[in-house]
Amino acid sequence: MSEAMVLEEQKGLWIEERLLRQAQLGQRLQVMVGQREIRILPAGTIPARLPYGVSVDEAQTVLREVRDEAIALYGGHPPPADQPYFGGVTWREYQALSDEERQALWDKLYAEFDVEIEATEEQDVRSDALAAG
Amino acid sequence: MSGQMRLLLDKNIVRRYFEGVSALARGLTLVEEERRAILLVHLARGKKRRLFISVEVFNLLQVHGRRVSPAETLMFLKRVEVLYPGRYFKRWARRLRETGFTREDAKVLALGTFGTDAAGAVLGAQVVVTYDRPMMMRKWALERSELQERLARMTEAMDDPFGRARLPDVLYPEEIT
Repeated sequence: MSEAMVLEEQKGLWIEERLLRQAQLGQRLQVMVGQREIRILPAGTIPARLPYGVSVDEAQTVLREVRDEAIALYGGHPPPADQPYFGGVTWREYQALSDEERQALWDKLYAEFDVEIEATEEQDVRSDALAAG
Repeated sequence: MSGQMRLLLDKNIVRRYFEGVSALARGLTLVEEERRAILLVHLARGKKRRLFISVEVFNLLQVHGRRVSPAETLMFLKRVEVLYPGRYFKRWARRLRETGFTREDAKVLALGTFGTDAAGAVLGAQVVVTYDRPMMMRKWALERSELQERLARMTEAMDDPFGRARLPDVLYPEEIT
């Protein structure tokens, strides 16, 4: 995710060893071929269950639609990496954060809107409201 | 519409959704948690599920999301509703706090039992969806039966719909069927 490059296809695709090491993929690789996409993953990361039990193909279709929807909303171009992102950092800087750091950042944002339980305003609920069962 | 299964998304699911859509828009590969969060949100309507977030998360997105991640915010907010604290929410959230849940977790779990939609037409959600493994997930599994008894004692003399209030399940996105 931290490095992007263009490789030329010549009866196959050669990926340098240093790049594979840099990606920390391990010794055994799993190659997933989709439409306009080939993913190389560590062998141990076989796709797990997906929400609603959808297939990998269905998931890829949905993700393509999501990507198209996002890019269309951004005017037809991917948003720039130096665009401000959550927590006062740029998207590029956010990408460099660990998962723990990202969570801490969101916890801090959430705290701005958190209120004491006693200060919470309770809404009316209809007597015929449908209870979760 | 009210008969559809209701899923309450915690903050970590929302974070993963935003990180995932932002990555997709830039042509990056997603990690599994991002992929599942996106699928959970974008397939919900077709699967007859209603998605909810808390007022706190909604306000966070209104203030910060619209400014720094406008496309993702628009895409997300048009697919979710807010689950508001209903009557007895505070009482139940206090009891969850006494059991040792963080304030955030106690409020999310209490919404799952005593939350309602904008019309006041529903009570609670069947499922709280989370990635919060250590706190919410494990603790919930440990405390659930005792909490079920406490809730039953609290609601046994209550009028409808509160007498039918139930604890939500707490699940990961991939466990949603």
